[in-house]
Amino acid sequence: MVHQLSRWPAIFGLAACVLVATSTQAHAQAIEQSVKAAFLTKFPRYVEWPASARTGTRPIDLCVVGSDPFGRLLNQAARSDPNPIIIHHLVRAEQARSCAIAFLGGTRQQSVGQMVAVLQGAPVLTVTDARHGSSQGMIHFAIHQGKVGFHINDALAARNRLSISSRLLQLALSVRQRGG
Amino acid sequence: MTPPESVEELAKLSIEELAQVEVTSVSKRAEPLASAPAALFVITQEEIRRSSATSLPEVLRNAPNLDVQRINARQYAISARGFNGYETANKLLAHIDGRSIYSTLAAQVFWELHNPILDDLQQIEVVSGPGGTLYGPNAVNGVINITSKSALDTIGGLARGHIGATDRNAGLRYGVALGNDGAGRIYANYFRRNGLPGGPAIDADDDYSGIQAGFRADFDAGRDRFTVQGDFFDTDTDLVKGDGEKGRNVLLRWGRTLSAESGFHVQAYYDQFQRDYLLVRDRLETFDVEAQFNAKVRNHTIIAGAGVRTTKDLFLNNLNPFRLTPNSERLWIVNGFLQDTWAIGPTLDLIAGVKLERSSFSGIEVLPNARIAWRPSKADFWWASISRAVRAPTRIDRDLNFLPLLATADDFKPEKLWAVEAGYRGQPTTRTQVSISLFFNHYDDLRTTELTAGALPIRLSNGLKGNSWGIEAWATHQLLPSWRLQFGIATLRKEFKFKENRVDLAKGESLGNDPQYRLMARSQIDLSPNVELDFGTRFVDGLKRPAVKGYVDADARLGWRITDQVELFVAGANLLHESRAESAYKNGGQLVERSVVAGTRVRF
Repeated sequence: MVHQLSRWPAIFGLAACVLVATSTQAHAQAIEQSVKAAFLTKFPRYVEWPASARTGTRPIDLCVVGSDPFGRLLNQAARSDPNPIIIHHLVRAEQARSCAIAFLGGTRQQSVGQMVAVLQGAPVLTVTDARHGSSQGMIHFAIHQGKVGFHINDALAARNRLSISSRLLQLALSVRQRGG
Repeated sequence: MTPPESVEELAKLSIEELAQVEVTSVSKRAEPLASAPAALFVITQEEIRRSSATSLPEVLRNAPNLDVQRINARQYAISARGFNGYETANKLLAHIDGRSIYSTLAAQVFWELHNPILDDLQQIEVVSGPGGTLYGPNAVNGVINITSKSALDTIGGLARGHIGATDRNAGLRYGVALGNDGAGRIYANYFRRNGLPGGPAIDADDDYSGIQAGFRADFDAGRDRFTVQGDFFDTDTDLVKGDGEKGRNVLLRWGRTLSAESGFHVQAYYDQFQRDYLLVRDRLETFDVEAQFNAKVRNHTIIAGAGVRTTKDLFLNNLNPFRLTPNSERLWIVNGFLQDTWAIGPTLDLIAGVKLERSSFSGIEVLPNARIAWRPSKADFWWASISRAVRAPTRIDRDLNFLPLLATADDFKPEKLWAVEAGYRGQPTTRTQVSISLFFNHYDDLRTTELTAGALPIRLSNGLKGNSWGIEAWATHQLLPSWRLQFGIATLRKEFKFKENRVDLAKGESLGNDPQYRLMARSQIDLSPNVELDFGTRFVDGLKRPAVKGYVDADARLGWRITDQVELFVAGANLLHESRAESAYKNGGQLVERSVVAGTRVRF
């Protein structure tokens, strides 16, 4: 099945290629990416934004900034989520200040570390991945003992006026705690 | 648990369930261990980072199921479940990234040949007991599986160094992305350790310094995964001018996922080292190829594999009259294995496997093992096993001679073990994890030194048999979110006797010199988000033949993360004694000293 699918792109050209390539990935490799996508859509339930930044009824703006390792996995995860989530694809972190949650993938022009720095002070839950380097947002994915885990920098969240629930903190591989 | 296939199914899980989904593909070799029905202790990268250890063998002290005896500034004897000692710790299989590192000279591991940057290690799995079917030769009393981080997880720069009165280190690593699916890193690690004072042996000039450098690249292109890595090292000892060790290795691995539940991997490596000490030269060249296939058919998970290894050695001794004849030889060892994990019910697995192994020094050995694993709940895991393992004869066993006193032993047989084990791993509370294992080992054909028909020459032979048994247990408890405690205990009783009409002129030396019990406790406290304070203490029972007093010792570490990029630390080891004996090794044993270092880690 997987083998047959991957032969189609040559026939259908580039657009089909992107779709099919991601679907073969979904089967073969990317249970890891699927788990991360599912995490991304669930994180907002465990985060409180400052009242000025969000109102409760609005859909959640989930932004992927720079390179996108998820493809359509993120849309599928968002559709399965009971809360309305809108996914945006952005190129630069400057565009992400009004997002609720931003996965920072980095680009050649703007590294993940620069993206984290740009969003300092903005009420955006920043998420990064050890696969993309050592720069860390408030939540940093890392594979631990064969499972997808994450480190939480609660001190950074506090500086950006976000509050992360204890249920999420308990799951973290490590927590950089907010200072007194 | 079979992981849900689709992202839609994953999205329906609770966030806690999501965190438990296994994402490493079933075909990856790392997996069988993680849920292994065996006495498994994992030293995590966090524990490595927070340890006071400044070298790989010191890190292994974190595993309660290992006995670590430091011999001198460079050498260590490390064993599980007995037989410890520099010349007797020969029943362990140690791997670094799938590369076997025990020497075929006498089946011990020369730990001094391995000096990676500790920050680049992913984790160290320590299995006490026979490794079962899946592991290569020599997995008799334990398996140490050291894995370094994927290059995909070490993008960016790291500089680390420490300095103390007796111990200095500087390491540098840099990793870059290679395309969308790959990454690579290069590293170099320099170390210098002062010699230790004389102890069981007279004071030797055992100052030790060296450099190890290497690279690793990983590509994870969906279906296929590639790893290529290599290291070289060059060390100096002060024993005699020109003494030291040199070596290099390169490894290639290709893994392919065939479906969600099947895959294979193939790996090949080349490894070469040369040790020059006093007037001895020991050289070993290894070439190894192995392949493994796994598939799931209904409720059977099948793993099959095969490997072939050939070594070419050289042993020249101008120090004393002991010789290996011939002084250079090519040896072969081949093995094939098949293992089935049969899910009898939703909570019960039956695992049966067999490995066939043949070496240049033995016929075909049949190594079966059977295990049962029962998970009555998510928090409880019970297991039991019975397995057979052998230690194939080595060059020393077969070819050592000193005529007319000692003759070669062409009939030296493999040493054999039947092991029965049972254990429990579980989480009595969400903040507590425990593991308890019991073992009973029955050995046969252990090494003795005997006369030939009552007269010279003497020969190495297989005149001993006997039993050993013990308990290994450990627990971790998260007392507070910022305070973690860990305890460990290991006990060992041994009862060996001669087979009929047999004697041992070496008086049971091959049985090792082991403590009857060891205790350890460790505390990790986050004093503030940026300050960590760690303590460890251990009690090790005395050794009997020759005698070494038992000891209590402690280590401590204070780490301060100044910024996300810069960390400073002070770490001390063996704090309770200025110096003390740890091994009884007459041919090089020195005293272990207190050591304090200050260091830094900088990420860029």
